Amino acid sequence: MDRSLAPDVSVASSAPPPSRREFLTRSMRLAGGGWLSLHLPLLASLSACAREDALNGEPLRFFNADEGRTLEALVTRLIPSVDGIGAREAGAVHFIDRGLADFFAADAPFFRAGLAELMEIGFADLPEAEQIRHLQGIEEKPFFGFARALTIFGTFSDPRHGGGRGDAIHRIYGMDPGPGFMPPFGWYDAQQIAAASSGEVR
Amino acid sequence: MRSSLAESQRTFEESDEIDFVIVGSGAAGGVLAAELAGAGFDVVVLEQGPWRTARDFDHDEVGHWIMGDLTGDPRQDPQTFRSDPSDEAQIASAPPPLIYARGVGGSSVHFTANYWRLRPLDFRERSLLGEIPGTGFADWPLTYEELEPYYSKAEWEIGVSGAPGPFDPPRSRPYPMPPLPVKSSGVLFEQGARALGWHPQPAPMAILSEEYDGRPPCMHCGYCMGFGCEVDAKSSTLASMIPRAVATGRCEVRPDSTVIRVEVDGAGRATGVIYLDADGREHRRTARAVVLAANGAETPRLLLMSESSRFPDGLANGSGLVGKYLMFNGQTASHGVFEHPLNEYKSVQVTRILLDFYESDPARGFYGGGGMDARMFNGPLFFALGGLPPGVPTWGEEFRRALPDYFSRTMEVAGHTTSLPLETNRVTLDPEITDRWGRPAIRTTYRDHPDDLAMMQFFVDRGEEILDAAGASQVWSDPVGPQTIGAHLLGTCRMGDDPEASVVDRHHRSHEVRNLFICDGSSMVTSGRGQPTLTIQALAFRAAEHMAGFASTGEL
Repeated sequence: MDRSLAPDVSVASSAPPPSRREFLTRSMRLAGGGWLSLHLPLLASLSACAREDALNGEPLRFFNADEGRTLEALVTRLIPSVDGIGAREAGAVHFIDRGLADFFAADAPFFRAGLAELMEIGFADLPEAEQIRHLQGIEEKPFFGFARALTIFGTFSDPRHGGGRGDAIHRIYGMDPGPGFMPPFGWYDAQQIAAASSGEVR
Repeated sequence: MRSSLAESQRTFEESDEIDFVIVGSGAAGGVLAAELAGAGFDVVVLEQGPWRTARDFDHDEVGHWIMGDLTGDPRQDPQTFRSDPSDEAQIASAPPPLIYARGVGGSSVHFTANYWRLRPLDFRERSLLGEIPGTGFADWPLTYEELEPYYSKAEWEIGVSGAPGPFDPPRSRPYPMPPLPVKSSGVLFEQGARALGWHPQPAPMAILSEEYDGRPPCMHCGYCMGFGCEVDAKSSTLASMIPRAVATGRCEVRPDSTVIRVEVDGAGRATGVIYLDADGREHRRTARAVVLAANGAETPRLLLMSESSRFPDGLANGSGLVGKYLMFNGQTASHGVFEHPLNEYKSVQVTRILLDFYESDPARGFYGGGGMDARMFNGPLFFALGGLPPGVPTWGEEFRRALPDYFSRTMEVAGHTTSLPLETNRVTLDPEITDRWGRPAIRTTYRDHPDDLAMMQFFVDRGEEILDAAGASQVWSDPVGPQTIGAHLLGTCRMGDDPEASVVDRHHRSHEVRNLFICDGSSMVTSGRGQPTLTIQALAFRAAEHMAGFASTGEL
């Protein structure tokens, strides 16, 4: 590996001492996306436990059913379904639900507080255009950046994390089915191969 | 999955006398193990991560880049980072500031497999260019000519695809196999660079283009950088050298074994190491000599943790340089969109490189040089996070529709540049944060030298020129700024003849503890131009020969 890529998304650390238990600010250095700061709290972790609440019949571990419904509306606006595949169909809600109960537990209270603000305005039941307008208004907020990152993780993860369902990666990008390929890989190398072979014929 | 090698290997009892204990099984450790065991010595390798096999690897970007499948769970193995020594270092998240893989094969498992040689000038640039005030810019204690046979040996032993280029340094053997097939990014890069009068060439890659040494050629799955190879076509030490080491019947590789201390006797000689097994139980592994090959971050951490009344500033640290002069190499990224599909998600990351701007040029007004390559930006997840051109929406329906449209038609030109050695860029022990084993977290302090940043900007400009000349409809670059993440961990226990100005001598032997050897990225005196793994492995082949010599003649 030889380049620094990468967004920095705060994750829990093992019991940081009080002096470090403060807002962690790191930048998301991303081409095209500009600089997106994520201010995420490092707080005590939550225990993971399955709950009664469910979304589309599937139990939630962290969220209650109302939260789940709001989150589903949110991820649907972030990566809408086109040709039958988007964040909702990929199971991004379940990725985030599992993640906040486990790997991203330190950030769970922060995320839940942001979701609560959406619930206060009845986000899940707003017409689509109003949902979009509201999100445009909070685009610069840390919660939005974190929600966007988690939604992308949940859409393009391996299914073992709860997301990435329905072959979402390949279907969203229109990728040829793998895992292996043979040349030519793209249009430009195909042209070169064709030119070389016609040269050989001559 | 347990490696079948693990089942079949020779094992040593703790009471057995052995010749070498090697800490780390990666790019350097794997080579040292195979060479020393091959020379007839009894060797134990201690590796903090697990022993995976090719079948354990997958393509999960979230698992690899965010959750630390290979690099370690950031919740259990935290690192801290700061840009300035006066700041309090903050706990960093995933991916960590210092990216390295834990597991047998180390970072050679997940590296991109760019496999460049240094050139003669890299070893004596201080003499050629003079002092650079405020830096530790220095010559190496060896020359390219001394290292050349080991470069060739590494290329053949490890398994490398490539073809000669116009700026190649002298080589005693050709590449063992031809280059991998060119991708569309390589074709466009060649067209653009040639239109500008430059000299692109096939990329040397430690990935097999044909069957070699019983391993199959690349299947072009597209997941090299940051991932383990599922068919053993990438020439990691896990695939190449470790099996050879085990096959000697004189080497035991112990995974899940975390070394916490190098022990020294009353005479100041290393007697062995203390390590923790997977359950946290403490063990002692004595040996005639101790070899640290744990990488440029873990090696200095271990030396600093091994302080004692005799070595109050850390073991082998009489120079005060253990952990200092950390060099990341500069990394730049320029992006271009083209009319037709490139499908960069297929095959290896890099197929063409360009070395026209390798040498430092006083006319530029700053020190530095580098190389470039044509590559894919990243996988599907990172493309969604930040791969689209400026101005394209980053969420919503337009975003969703832009993903497939741009993903197939976008490529990157990357620059890889020099980093000057600065005393303030260093690895130290965090005073508060500890890892799952109670080890002090690695605390990194890093800020690029102004010349390094200027060099990076120079390469951003050249990258954009190539993409423009290749006919890209839209070109943009990541902004250049102080780096906070590095995967090249170089210079932190530098080699040298002067015990006051280096940690190890020209044979990788500690100046102070004569049966302690250090050989990994930390040995490098200057950063090279961005692809250090081949040099680390050539140094390891050379070091093993010297260690074997000392052991045979009673000079340990």
